[in-house]
Amino acid sequence: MDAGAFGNRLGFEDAYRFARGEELTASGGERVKLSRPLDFLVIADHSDNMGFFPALFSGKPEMLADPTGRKWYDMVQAGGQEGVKAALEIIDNFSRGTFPPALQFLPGSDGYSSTWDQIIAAAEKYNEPGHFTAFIGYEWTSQVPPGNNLHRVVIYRDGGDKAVQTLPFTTYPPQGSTTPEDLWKHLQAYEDKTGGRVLAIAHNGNLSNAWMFPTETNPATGQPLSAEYAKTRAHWEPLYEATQIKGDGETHQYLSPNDEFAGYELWDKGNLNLSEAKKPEMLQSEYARSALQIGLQLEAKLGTNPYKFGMIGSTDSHTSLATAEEDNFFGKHSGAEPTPTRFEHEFMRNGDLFLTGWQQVSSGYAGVWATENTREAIWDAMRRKEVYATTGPRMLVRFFGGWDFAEADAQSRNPAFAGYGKGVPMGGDLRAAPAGKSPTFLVAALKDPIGGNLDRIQIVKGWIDAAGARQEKVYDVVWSDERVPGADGKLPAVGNTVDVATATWTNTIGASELIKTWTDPEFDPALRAVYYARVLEIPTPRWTAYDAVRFGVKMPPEVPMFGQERAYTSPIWYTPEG
Amino acid sequence: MTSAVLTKLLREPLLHFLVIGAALFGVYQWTTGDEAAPDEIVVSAGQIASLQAIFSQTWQRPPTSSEREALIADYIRDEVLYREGVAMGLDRDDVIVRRRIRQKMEFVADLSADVQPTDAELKAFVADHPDRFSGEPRVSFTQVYFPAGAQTANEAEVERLRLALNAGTADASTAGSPLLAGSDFRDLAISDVAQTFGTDFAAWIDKATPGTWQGPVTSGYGTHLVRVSERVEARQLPFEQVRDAARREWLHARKVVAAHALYEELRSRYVIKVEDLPGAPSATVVGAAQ
Repeated sequence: MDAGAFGNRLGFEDAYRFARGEELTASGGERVKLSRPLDFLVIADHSDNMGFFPALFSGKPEMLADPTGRKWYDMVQAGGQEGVKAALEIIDNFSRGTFPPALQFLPGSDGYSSTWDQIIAAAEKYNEPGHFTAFIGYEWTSQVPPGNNLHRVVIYRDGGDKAVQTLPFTTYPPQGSTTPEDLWKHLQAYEDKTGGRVLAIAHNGNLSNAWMFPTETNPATGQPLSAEYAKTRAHWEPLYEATQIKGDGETHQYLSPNDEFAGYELWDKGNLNLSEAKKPEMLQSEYARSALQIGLQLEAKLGTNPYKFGMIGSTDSHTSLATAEEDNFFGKHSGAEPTPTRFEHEFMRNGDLFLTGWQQVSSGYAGVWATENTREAIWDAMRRKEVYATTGPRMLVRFFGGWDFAEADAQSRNPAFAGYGKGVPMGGDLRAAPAGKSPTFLVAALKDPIGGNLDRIQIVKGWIDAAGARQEKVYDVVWSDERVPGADGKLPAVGNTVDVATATWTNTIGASELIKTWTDPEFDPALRAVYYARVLEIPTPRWTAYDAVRFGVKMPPEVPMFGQERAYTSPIWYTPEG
Repeated sequence: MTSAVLTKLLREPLLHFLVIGAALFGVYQWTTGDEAAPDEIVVSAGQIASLQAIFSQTWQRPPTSSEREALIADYIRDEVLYREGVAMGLDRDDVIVRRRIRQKMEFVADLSADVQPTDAELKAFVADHPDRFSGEPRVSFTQVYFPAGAQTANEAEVERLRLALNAGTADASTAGSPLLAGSDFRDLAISDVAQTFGTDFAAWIDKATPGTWQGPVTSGYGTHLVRVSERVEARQLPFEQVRDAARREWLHARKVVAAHALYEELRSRYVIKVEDLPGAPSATVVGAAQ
């Protein structure tokens, strides 16, 4: 899906300007502005070729040696109308076939300059340490035939001086490859050459048809997963994108039948291009929760957990507009920007399998606990997995694990002091259980100041039982409105204030803030375990409800009109000694 | 906390194939169309060097001889299929090819405006847009929080506490309820206050007089009493501090103008007729030839 192809005429610069809070005109003509600017943005385009135009305009000596080249260069430097005239002359020379041959292939010039240079230039231009971080990055769009999604976004810690020294990795041989191991080799080569740092973030395992998180066999080679694979993957891929426009990826109700909140905004019909239908047995290798558990199994076998990832959300937007809240959803691509009929457009079809416009998910964002708003600090936080995913709301979420958290820590005015002082933050590790102790967790969430109240915080535990089988359990840890669990232990639903007819809700239920310490009641120090927190908002209108009101359209009953937005923290892992 | 988003543009490898093909060989076609016979494909030494250079920049090593053969074979395959595809008109009415080419034309327009401004030009630009380059007001403040919902404190209690805080008989560090966002804030720009507490709260604090406990004021979280301890007014920043931002904005403004001028000029070369849509309410005809 090509941003240019879908009518997106907003470029890299526009994407940065929008993220920083500037008002723009979207491809469809609407004036758009983020109500709250973002702190950082990665624009991940793929590499493409801009021809020799950049060299033509940049005043390379070879070009200046040619009289016509010199003339055009001087016109551009003169600026204003002269620059426009130079561009027109160049266009005219091309259309008449009179372009000076000497300029077409400049001797000794590097000929083609790639879009990569433009991406880097735009990032450098808009990156303002301390105020707004524009990461250099790209997307490696690996799609294994017939269409199994293995996409990764590569993010550089570095500036343009290093990033420009290599080209992004592509997927077509002989230049590129669709195999993640080749991407990792490429990343290693980049670091070896430049001394820079990069990481890769996979997304949409839900469209990989079991290729994203293999359980035993490496699908790329047909060989059993090796210790080398586990180590290399864990090194380069510290994060997984667990929620975005093409479906939420936390868990599937098939995998988590006892989780009443499983099955949120799923895309589970097939692979990326719907060329192959989904089979239930594929699902375990597609969702974050089961992958975290498979990782524990593989760690026992291979010595390294290849799926030891933190979680972020992202928009995967192709509109240059990073819009992830329900009331500002701009759609996947410019052909689907707000119109009265976008909900019913066929989004994708392959034979009998199809997805309709309303199934797009208005999600998500990444929250990062960084010491400052710079490339280095945010990247470092990503590397240590001190990050969390939200499906759009800008909730503030804390999650610490340790052996000694007490109820008083949750009453503190500064719970993070206790969190860092007595434990490890999200993304961290617990080892060596003190005799007789169970892990304790300090978990807290503050609602988005302009979003829905909070319903509850849950802790999701995954572990490998003594027989080596995967297990999971979802614990309600803290909730709003003084609800009392029923005899079956189930917490009553928070309620629903959504008025679909007006696409409004009230914060008369739920809580602004929830905080609690929690001790694992079923801890076995001999068994590997992984814990993460899930925060649920009260029900709020879905983007489809805003569309229905805005355009006065009636949508069929299968279209959801509200939902409970959520956040997923990066996990904390417990590993037994020895 | 830092919120974030990853925006990804452009994917779908099949489309990449088409687009990259179109891009590479579109240029090739224009520039070399009269050099080779229609049924001749020349892979020049320069092109091979370029293929090798891209490979080396990707893999950090030169291609082996078999990889080089593969690069050339792939190049030829692209060229054969591209030419045949163009001959069949497959590039026409292809929204992907059209958009990509359009983006590139706009990029060419951008390049034509890409020059380095002088300090004098930038200073003049800053002087013309003072609002864009002055800092924001910054505030330091303490807040006492009362959650919304069942435990909401009543107005009289809040007012009593406010008076007690001003009289020094209540302690802000234990009054009200904890708030995860924090209670003491130092030297925050108004826009940062808005990020944490919402725009209404930020607008209120922007007007608050420093020195005393004021409020109550509401945010998305509940009710607050606030004491602004210090306020630093927005001021014109030294030129050195805004030079980079000014250069960015100056170039952007220039590119917008250049792109518009270039498009208007190109458009004026066409006679444009927009037909009526059958059943459309009003007739529209636009002519634009000069």
